[in-house]
Amino acid sequence: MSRERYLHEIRDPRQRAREAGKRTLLWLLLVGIAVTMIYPLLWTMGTSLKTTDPAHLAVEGSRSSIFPTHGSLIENLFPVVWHWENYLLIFQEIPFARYFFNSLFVAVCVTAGQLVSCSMAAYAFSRFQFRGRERLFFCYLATLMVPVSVTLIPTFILLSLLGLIDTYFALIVPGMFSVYGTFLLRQFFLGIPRELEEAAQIDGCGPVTIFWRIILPLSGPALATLGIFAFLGNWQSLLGPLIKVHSDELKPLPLGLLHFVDLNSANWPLLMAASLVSILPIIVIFLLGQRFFVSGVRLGGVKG
Amino acid sequence: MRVPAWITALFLGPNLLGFAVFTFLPLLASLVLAFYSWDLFGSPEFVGLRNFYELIGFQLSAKGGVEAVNPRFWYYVYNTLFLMLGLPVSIFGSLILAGLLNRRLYGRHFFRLIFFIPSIISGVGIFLLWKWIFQPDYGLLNHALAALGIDGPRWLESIRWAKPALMLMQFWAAVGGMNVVLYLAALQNINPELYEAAEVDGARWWHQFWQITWPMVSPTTFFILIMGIIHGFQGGFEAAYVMTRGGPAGATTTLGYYIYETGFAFFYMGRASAASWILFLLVLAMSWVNWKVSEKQVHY
Amino acid sequence: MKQWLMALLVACLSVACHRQTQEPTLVVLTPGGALGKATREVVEAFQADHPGVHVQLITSPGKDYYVKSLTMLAGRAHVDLLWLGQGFGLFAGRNALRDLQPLLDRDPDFSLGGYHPEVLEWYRYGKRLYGIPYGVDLQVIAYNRQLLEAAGVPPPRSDWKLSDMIGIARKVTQYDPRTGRPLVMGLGLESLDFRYYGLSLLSEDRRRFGLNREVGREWLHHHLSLIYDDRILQQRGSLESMDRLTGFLNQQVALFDLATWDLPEASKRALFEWGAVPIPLGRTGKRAAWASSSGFCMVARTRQPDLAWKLLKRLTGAEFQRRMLDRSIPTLVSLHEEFRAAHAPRNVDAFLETLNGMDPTPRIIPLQEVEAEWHHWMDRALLREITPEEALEQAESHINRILALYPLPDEEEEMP
Repeated sequence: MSRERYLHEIRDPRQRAREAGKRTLLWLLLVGIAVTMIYPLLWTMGTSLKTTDPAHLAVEGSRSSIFPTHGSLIENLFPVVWHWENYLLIFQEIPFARYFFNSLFVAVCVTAGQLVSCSMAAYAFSRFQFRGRERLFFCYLATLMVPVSVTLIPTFILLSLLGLIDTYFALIVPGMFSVYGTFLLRQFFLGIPRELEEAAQIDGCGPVTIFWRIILPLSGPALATLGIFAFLGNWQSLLGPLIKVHSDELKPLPLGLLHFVDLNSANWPLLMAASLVSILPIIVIFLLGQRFFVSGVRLGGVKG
Repeated sequence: MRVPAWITALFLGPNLLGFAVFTFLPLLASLVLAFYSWDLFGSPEFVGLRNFYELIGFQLSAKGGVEAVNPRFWYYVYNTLFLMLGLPVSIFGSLILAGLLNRRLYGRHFFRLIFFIPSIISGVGIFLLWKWIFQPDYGLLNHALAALGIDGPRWLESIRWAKPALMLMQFWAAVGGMNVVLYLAALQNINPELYEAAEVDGARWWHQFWQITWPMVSPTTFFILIMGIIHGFQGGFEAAYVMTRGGPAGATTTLGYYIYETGFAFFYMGRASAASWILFLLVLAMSWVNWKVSEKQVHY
Repeated sequence: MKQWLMALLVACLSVACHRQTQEPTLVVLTPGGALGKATREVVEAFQADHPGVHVQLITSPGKDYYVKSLTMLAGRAHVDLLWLGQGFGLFAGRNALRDLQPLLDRDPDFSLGGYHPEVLEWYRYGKRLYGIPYGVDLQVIAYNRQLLEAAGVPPPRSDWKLSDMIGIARKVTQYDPRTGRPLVMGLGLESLDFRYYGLSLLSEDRRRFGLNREVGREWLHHHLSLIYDDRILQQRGSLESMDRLTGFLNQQVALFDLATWDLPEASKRALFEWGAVPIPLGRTGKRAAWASSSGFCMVARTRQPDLAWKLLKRLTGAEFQRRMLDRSIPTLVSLHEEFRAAHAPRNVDAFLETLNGMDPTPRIIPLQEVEAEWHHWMDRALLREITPEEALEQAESHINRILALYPLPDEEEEMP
């Protein structure tokens, strides 16, 4: 917690020693958890460097097996020969760059759209007084509760009627009005003290000005958090794009990567290499956003 | 604040319009379908409440008592609820993890990234990796347990242990990730003076936790819990799809998987829609309770 | 800054609304992977021969293929041809497919003479022909030669019996005396197939459940004793799982039910010598192997039947079958030599031998529902939750009820 002092700030040597011991223990605990958290990632990396080429397999022996079993926990992670060329192959075997661009383009548009539409709606839900506000909001929230699989066909029919199947539009626009995002931001806005707005109102500012000049500048961390949520959610979505898009030119990564998956088998090394490359943007975004959003999203109370 | 109607419309309009067209219309269609029998190819036929009756109805049994028309559906409801028991544990775990990451420990930024990773790597590969970790004879988990002198259960192959196995996997995926991010942010917002005052009063750390930390992060907990309930009710689909196909003997079939299977494998789209509206009512009830309870509990 | 972002957003959206693909003449649905690749090549060749024809090939990954194709068909989207595997009865029985017989009769250049007659029969309902298969899928028993040699067992011969298989498994299975965990399992099968006992899932007329008989009970008891008493059978998850080969490749099981579609992976990734024999002869002295097929069908609502027929012929013809040689047995009998040659030096005769003695998946409308119901009760019996008698009893009553709900696909023929 922020009150915590650095070790060198502690004057009393005995207290410092005790504190150092405690922190080492906690640190070891963290390392322990981290190892279990990171194992699948290491496995993914190891697998991405293996090969399915029989000529190489013979040399590499049993270590080339993909799924680990007892006795192979660690050694299974390391290929004998490191096939870095897999990372080139993914660009040759499938239009990986195109999928990557699609994912990026769609995710950026959806994220931007969500930030705009959700922050406006969230502000209305948290501050404006109008009839049926709570009911409408609960109705919003309720739609999150119906499973996607039954709306797949209606969504498909709707988008076909609108002539939007197989367009970027179908991937982007429906994603821009997120209930989740509205909920998150509403909770945040509820936590912002009202005094600021009241003062501004007395100065003659309208709601638009207040939203633009006061609320949004205060909401940096919350918007960053929603940005990550939206980006991440979009980056991973599979079922939506599956039914909305036909052509290869429009497929986003999760759909495109499954080219490495056959009906009953998969090209594991290339699939894993492609998955690794495809999570890079998320890691970058996380690192960029970390300082920003950790510095404070305060999700306010429940009541309006 | 009181604003003219057009201002409300301006703020709410874009979202509401998009919501109405792209979320509400398909939902409405599935609600209508719930009262029809539709095999995806023919034309839907109105059957009234029959789909609901076939899922949650009761009938007189041969012995003269009352029995469920579809006992398996109730079992799937139970499975879904059972799997959600892991939710409080993982939320609590996230909070503890966030507490640890909030301390001035060496490399905490690095750890934050590491703990975020399980939520971003997903896909068939990871599910199959877990399947092999749980493999009873050769898998890593039972091997590790054997080293401790424990004869591990048959995990995904056993009716009793399949759900705990999936819960373990979900815990792994959910304990880090966005929840830690949200909690970290909430923790940073707590005024350090509160702790200092408590320390002066001689409160131990668990007192500090219950008296200060827990109430101060309660809005975040509320948010995470609501979203967790919503996802939990629909969850278990991918795991069932890739790892267990809902088995053994339906032990890992959640409502989400049942709805998918009924609609897309058995071609009862009407019944699948009805099931999802029953699911909807369940989630609604639970969220409502949570909402009401939170109004008293959540501090802000 | 904010204004720029807004402008960018508007620009992006206008790009997004733009449709770039021209209206296709024909639309073909297939799963992705190797199959999708082969289809793409054939479709491209077809387009080169038919200028002005624009074929849109929609590939979707593995299991999601059915979600995609069902959504498109249910949403009345434009689809002309689609790939179908063993589930094709589901579509045919619901009148989603077009009868190919009239097109066939009008086409002087095409004859079904070269096709394996039995497999073709699976696609025929009365006078109607609902699709043309390009490949047969079936299972044989693959054995790990090294593990067998280590146990001093000679490799099985193609006329072996169930008792031979169990005998080999007994000798090969090894448990770690210290931990009591298996080192090598003799049998790593999806299950001990009831077909070995001369049983069928459904009765002859496909109206009733077929396993609740004396032999069926015997089979299930035997199945249980192989798992719990002899401890030589490791039951492995479902048929379609993508990791099904792992146990065999890791040399943890000696005998494995290898399917045609496993051939590319098994021949590439196995680091030991293995051979294959047909499944053991059943109790009745005959062989009855699980079998299925893959082919292309025409959607009932197609607006271009003649053009679609031309493409369908290509997608099921010799050229396409050659492309799929590595993972399915061609339905054109004349290509069987090439199948053999394509896998040389490995001997794949076991697959070709099994062509005599196939027990195909039943062509009924509620196939998946019936299979799921059966697995439910079998799981419970194999986990010893209920007795085999109870399981068969329950499965019979549930499955018979499901079967009664649907007419048989070929019966509809007689209905007006």
